[in-house]
Amino acid sequence: MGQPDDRRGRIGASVLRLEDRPLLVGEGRFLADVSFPRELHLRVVRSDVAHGLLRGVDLGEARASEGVVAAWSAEEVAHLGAIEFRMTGLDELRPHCQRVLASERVRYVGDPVAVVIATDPYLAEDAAELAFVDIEPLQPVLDAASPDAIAPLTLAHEHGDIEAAFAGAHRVVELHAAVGRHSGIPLETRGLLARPTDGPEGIGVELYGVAKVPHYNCATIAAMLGLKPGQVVGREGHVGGGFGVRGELYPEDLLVTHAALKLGRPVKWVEDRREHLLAANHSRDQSYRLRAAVDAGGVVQALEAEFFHDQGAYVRTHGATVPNLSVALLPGPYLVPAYRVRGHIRLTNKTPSGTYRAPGRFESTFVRERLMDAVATACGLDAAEVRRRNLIPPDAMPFDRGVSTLSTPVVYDSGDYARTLERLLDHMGYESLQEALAKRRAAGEMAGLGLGMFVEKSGLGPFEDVRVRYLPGGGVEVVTGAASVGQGMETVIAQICAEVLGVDYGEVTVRHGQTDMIGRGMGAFASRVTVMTGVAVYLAASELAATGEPAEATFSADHMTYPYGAHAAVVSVDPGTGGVTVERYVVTYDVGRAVNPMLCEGQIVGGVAQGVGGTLLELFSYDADGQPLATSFMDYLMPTVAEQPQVEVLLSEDAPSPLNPLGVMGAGEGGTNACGAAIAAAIDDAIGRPGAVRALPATPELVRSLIRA
Amino acid sequence: MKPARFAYTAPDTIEGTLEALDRFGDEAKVLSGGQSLVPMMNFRLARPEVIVDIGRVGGLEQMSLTDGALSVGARVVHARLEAPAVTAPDGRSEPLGGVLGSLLPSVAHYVGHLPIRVRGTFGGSIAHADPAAEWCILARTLDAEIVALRRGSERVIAAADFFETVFTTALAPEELLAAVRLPILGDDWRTGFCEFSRRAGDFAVVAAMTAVRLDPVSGAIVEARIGVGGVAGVPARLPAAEATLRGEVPGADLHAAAAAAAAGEVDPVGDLHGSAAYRRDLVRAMVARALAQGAGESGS
Repeated sequence: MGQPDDRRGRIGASVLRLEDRPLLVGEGRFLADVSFPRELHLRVVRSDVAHGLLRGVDLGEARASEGVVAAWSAEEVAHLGAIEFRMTGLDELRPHCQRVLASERVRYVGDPVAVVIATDPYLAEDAAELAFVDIEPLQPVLDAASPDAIAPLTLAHEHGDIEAAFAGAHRVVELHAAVGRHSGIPLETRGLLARPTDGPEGIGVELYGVAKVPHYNCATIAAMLGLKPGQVVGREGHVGGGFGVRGELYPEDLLVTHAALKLGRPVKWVEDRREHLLAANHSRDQSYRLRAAVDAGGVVQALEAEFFHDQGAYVRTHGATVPNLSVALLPGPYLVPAYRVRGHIRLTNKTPSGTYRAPGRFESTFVRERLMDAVATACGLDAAEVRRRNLIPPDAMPFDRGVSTLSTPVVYDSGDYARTLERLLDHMGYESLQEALAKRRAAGEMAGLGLGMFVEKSGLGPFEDVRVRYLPGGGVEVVTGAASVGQGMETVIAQICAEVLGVDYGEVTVRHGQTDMIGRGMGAFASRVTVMTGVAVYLAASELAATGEPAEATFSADHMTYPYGAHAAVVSVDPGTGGVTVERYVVTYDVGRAVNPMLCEGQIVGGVAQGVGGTLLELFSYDADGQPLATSFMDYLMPTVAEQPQVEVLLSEDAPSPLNPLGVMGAGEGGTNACGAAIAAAIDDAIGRPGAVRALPATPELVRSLIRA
Repeated sequence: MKPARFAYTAPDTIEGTLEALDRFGDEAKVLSGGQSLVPMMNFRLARPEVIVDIGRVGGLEQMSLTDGALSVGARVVHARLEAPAVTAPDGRSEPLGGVLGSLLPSVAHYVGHLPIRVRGTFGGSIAHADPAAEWCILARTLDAEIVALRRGSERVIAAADFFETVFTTALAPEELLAAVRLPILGDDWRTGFCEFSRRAGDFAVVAAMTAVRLDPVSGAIVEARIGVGGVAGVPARLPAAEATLRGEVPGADLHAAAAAAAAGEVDPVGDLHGSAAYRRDLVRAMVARALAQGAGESGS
């Protein structure tokens, strides 16, 4: 790996971010910072009932309120239709897409039923309170496993001889485990400012606040509003975090754009935090039943899994993405010759859900690793040893998992899983650490160690385009259709370009998220930018280096790359309260080749913070009427710096990806993936109750009850 | 999350403040540090017609020793209690010593986060009357006195009478909380404060404060106070648990017995952050630890 003092910023150098200067000197321009003369402010009126018949929406008083320019319910926007899938769309799910405003029925607290547009955000909020929404309440469904839950689809997959494996098993190990509902909470909430423009193709609109997938969103909005694709232009600014949640296409995006065009004035909507917790995509919320057929040596010969995925009230842009990823990646780094899975997608009266950093993997890794711990206990094996015996060996690479996800076959491209496990154990001093913890327990403390292993996925195709040229006044310009959500992509792309051209990375300007600068672009999700845009810029810059002329290149990929790693947690538990302190946290992660190791580490450390949140603190809970209980930061508990452990990151480059000329894999999600698994195992160890933690978050009350049981 | 419309006035003097409160009555709400009121207004859970901002009023930021009490002015910010200093008669500032001088910092660091502690005020916390707030528990446990002013008169309200229910106090709409008097504790007092919250800086799920006065000869407890927060609509005193302590010599067994009595004496209501049973369980742990802390032992 490169040295941090390599200031030229070649591949492997831990150079500072190009993005940081404007942010540090107060020149950040997030959506709320953008304003135009005569702009209007939109406020959404939301259902305060979880499930009910919408008898009527009376906007008379709201329309008469000071400063109000317009107020609409579903009737006025009926022509806008429902929001389609961006990914993993399946016909069975289509009837459950969300319309921009609810009509006839409301399905969750937060469901948009009307909008009020006024000259000032305060006046808009005043007026929204005057909207009279007549709802006849119905019984809500809050349990995905309930027979009352709408059941559009069960995802199923099977390979290998399951029956024979269970028939011949030395023992069968079973496990029920669940991950609670939580999600990405970016510092910048959602928001959009739509500004009508008068261009060569007639009236169009510029959108500020687009993120993650600007090209897709602009094209989709154009189609839904009856405009040509080029008439909706995305202007990505600074984005304060994405995490899967921010930047998807939501009802509010259509409402704001429609309002701007209809009223002929800029219209702005900045989501407030309560709205974010009610209305932006939730995630996780899966419960599993697992059975493993285990041989005498502790090797899992077959895995049978059934899970319920609580999709919430509607199926949004991600379609079946999250449960689809759970299905495909549940077996993780282990051989598991026979595998059968059924994943039930169920609708409930909660906020609709979508992807959140390590979607389908945080959940499936938690339950798989809990299962491996249960196998270890049943077989009398150490947690590391049972994993050693089950890992896919390096000579089996590339390894065809026999299942597909996101329309690509899961073929692990490269990896030395045993090596990454041994690196983790060596770093921690595994055996002496276990002895030290045993001594602490013998002295009356509750302290323990837990492990979790995982395979991630990254570099989702199908393509990304890049244009590169020398600028007349000096320097290099890169134009890409990918997006920045704050992850450092400008720096990484500049480093790859600098490596090829032999210039300093600071001389490279990376333009992204401007839909009128480049014809197409897939965006920033699925840990794909370093792989897809990175390789495209490598190809384009190579051509520029050879010819000196502006160059374009496309990188296409029909397979993903699969980075992998392991987590270890040391925790102490307060016996009197059940409170858990993460004392030490170690992550090994192999990204094939690290373009900027410091940024990779930053991704991992930030990912761990979110993993710790989902493991110990964060939960969207509901009362029996379907009222959400966590609607502010007093009740939705994000980890603070005080709850966050120091993370020791062991970044490695053992297994460069053979699927691209740089050997890179994505670094975005490995920090989150196995947090639940490792911390749960550590709590078990601390309280001396193997297999005790089977549900997340492991709240102090839950842990205290396990201690008392 | 924009507040409903309100009028705003910022008097310079206590007299001006009292006039405004007299004029607007229950339409008015006093703004001190704003660390609770402003979020509640943003959520539109509080909709005062008139905000009377006392940020410019002089004379509310003093800490002084008078008549056997530490008088803490309404606008003393939490952070100042982390290193409490009092104004001596000659005008100089000197560190507060004694039992209170060590107790107050040990409680102050539980209050919110630093940005909250440098803006939020002691008087604001008492007047807001969150039953899990550290200063409310302390005031109730030490039998503090609340000094309330209104136009032309002053009255002193005992903490026992001051906290009525959640966010509700004996203050009349026309009254301004001017100061809180905390009794000076002699060197024969032993105090402890222990709190469990989900995250650093959160309101307590359960917090307990204990204060016992020891007979200098026998070492037995002659006076005992136990206050807990997070278990009722007001910070609660636990007389049965206090009674188990009186006449006894501090020790692990006694502390355990008092903690058990405390757990048996509370009748908490559960919420998102802890069921009734869990809160009862926490009362036992927090009371035992506070007592152990007071006795200079490590709790369990």
